[in-house]
Amino acid sequence: MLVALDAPVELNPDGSPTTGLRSQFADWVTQPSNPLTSRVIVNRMFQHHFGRGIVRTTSNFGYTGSKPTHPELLDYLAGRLVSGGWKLKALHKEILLSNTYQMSSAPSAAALKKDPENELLWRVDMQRLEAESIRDSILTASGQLNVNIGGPSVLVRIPDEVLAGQSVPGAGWGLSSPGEQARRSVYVKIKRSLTVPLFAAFDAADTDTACPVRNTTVVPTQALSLLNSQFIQEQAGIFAKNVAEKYTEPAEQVTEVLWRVLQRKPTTVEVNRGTGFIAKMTATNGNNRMDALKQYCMVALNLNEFIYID
Amino acid sequence: MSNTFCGRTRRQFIWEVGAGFSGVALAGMLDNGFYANQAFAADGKTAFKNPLAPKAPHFPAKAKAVIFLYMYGGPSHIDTFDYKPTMYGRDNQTIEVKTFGRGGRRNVGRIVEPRWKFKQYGECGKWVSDLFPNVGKHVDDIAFVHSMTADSPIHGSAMLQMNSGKILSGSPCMGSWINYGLGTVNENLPGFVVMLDPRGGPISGPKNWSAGYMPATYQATVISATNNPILDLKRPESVAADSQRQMLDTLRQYNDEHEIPRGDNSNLKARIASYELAYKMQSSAPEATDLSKEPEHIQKMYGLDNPRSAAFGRQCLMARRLVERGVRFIQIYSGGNHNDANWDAHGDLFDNHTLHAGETDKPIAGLLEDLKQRGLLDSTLIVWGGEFGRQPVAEYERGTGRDHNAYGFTMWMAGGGVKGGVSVGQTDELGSKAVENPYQVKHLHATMLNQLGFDPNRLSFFYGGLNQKLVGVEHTNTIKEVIA
Repeated sequence: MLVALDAPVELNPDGSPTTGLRSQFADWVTQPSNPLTSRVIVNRMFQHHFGRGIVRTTSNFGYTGSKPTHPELLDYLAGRLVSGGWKLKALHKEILLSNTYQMSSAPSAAALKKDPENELLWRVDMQRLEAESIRDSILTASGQLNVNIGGPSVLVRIPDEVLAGQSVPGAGWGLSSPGEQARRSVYVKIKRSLTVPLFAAFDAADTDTACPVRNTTVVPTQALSLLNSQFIQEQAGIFAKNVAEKYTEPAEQVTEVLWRVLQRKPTTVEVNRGTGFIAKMTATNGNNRMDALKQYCMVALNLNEFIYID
Repeated sequence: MSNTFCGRTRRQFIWEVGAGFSGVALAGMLDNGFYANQAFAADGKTAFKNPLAPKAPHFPAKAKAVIFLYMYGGPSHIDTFDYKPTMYGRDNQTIEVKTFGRGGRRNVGRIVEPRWKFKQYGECGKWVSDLFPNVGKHVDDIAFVHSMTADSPIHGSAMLQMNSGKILSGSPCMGSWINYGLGTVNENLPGFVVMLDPRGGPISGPKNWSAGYMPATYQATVISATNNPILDLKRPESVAADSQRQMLDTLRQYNDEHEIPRGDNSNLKARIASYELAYKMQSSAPEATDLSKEPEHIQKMYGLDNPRSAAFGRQCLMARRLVERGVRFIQIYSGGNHNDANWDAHGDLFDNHTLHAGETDKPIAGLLEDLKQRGLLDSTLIVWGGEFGRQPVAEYERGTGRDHNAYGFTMWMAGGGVKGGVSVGQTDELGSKAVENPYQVKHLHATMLNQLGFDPNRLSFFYGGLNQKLVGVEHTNTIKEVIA
């Protein structure tokens, strides 16, 4: 940085209407003799795929940051990025096709003993979906996700109890149409002083500060949100209706529900447990078949396997 | 706190995990007790690492809980508890006085004589205005700090400072610090509770009870005095209790089966347990906020029989019930929204303060009396005040409205190991600024943390390359004169 500031700077190069300071800064940041930029970028890519960076302190490569666990790998990836013309997609592909990325998350007693924190990446760490992915996955399971691209942010329902915290409750918020509300979470409007409760519950980034690494907490309020919120209740109802329109036999319905949330073929035990639940529910508390199927969808949407990825 | 985290210093430990506690590989480290002691879920066998599990403070605490009665908008100190006898008879005199409020900096102003008479109360003979005849009866239990100062005379930033120590948003609020430092002894209830004025929240809303750079777990839970006390706590009416229990039992079967081959991942167990805790909360939290079982004389004590004071009274009574059940930090807002819906008396001082004092005087007195008769006042720190005070002079050419004053104002504390019947610091004869023993917001925070058993200069959270503290990085003293 100091070098950049110390170097003589030519303003308005080639008669440009702007000073050209920003592009000069960009050129300086990305010059081949500065290894830091490419290292920082690939470390962030790595963090998003593996749940943590090769350098754990993603935003601090300075003296007070932590050392890389795999320095050669970091430099290899950084080199690939530069030699590949700074194209991210090819590097993503290379990481995803690697043996390390494709390792199972299954534990091994011997490996756990030698390296309990998996510093050496002898397996892939299980990852909990981030808040936005949890919401998108729920909408995908219910068949509601609107995958349109672009356009203005959308306003999803925020309960009155939360709006009550505003000095003028409800000000600056509204409600998009149901179809728009089902857009991917990346399109949900972020208002600095008002967070969508589902996002807040699942550790979305604070709106005030940079967030290099998110927290991954496990607290009962998350369970309350996925059991009782209007959003989950609505989506479970739509999910059930959607499945019931395609399948009539309980075993088929259960299989479809589990397929959608787990993305794998359920076992016989899992299917039988589901049909047993639906039969039992249908017989009690005045529930009809649809109520029972909706409750089964609630079970599915709350599964650990749904939000923890092997 | 212990200095060894898996053989590292805390500083190293937090650095190594990227200051984020993310990544399930860390579960094994967290098991060693960074976040919490082990607790058990409803079934009595599943270990649940509750981040809010109780923790011991640095040294034995005088106060176990705090109830912060937040007078949003900034009550006028010279019309409430800071008696200025020489101002009477000087109404409308133009004087030289430096002020700084929303109207900017001024050097000259027109005196607005205090609009209420003061009377002496208690053995200490404290002068209290006629706005607080009921609170006046408790002055022998109260320590007044008349020389408070704040860094900003503007609501948003001054409120953030009173709540989080910083005038910018993004830092954890006091309740989050206490949640982080102490946890909650009742795992069915949040450790940090905020109750809002029915007219709306304060300016900046949730920033005033945010956990900032700490995990969101430590932020406040907003509890409503009406129907649904905690967000999403109530089971939907379309779902029978029995159905939900069956649903949870089936969920448990799937999750247990899934967990067996992944037994090394404690997050999976924790999440299973969190559903049992959530289920328990559904029955225990409404019980905590249900006032119907409180006898009539207690309800009256808090002013529930008077429509004017009933709303704030219910919140004060709920606060007592929450303290009894182990909640650590409760903040109740008197005033919300904008203008005269809170203590921000820019227009008619008399109408504004008559309204807000009238709503709160009886409930606050009732809270002090009730806590005392139950022996809870000794262990419950009550804090009263707003983000700043008000000026001795008028804001406009006409009328009695007072602009903001961060140069000097009054806060008071009671219980929780605080001396009764004392007054600390002084403002000048007009109440325009603190002139004797001036204190800053951080000194108030330091005092509160001290009463809760913390060394305010040691309670820290590593973030952004610093051991962040509520009181800031410089050594901060308590307000010693109020500590018993």
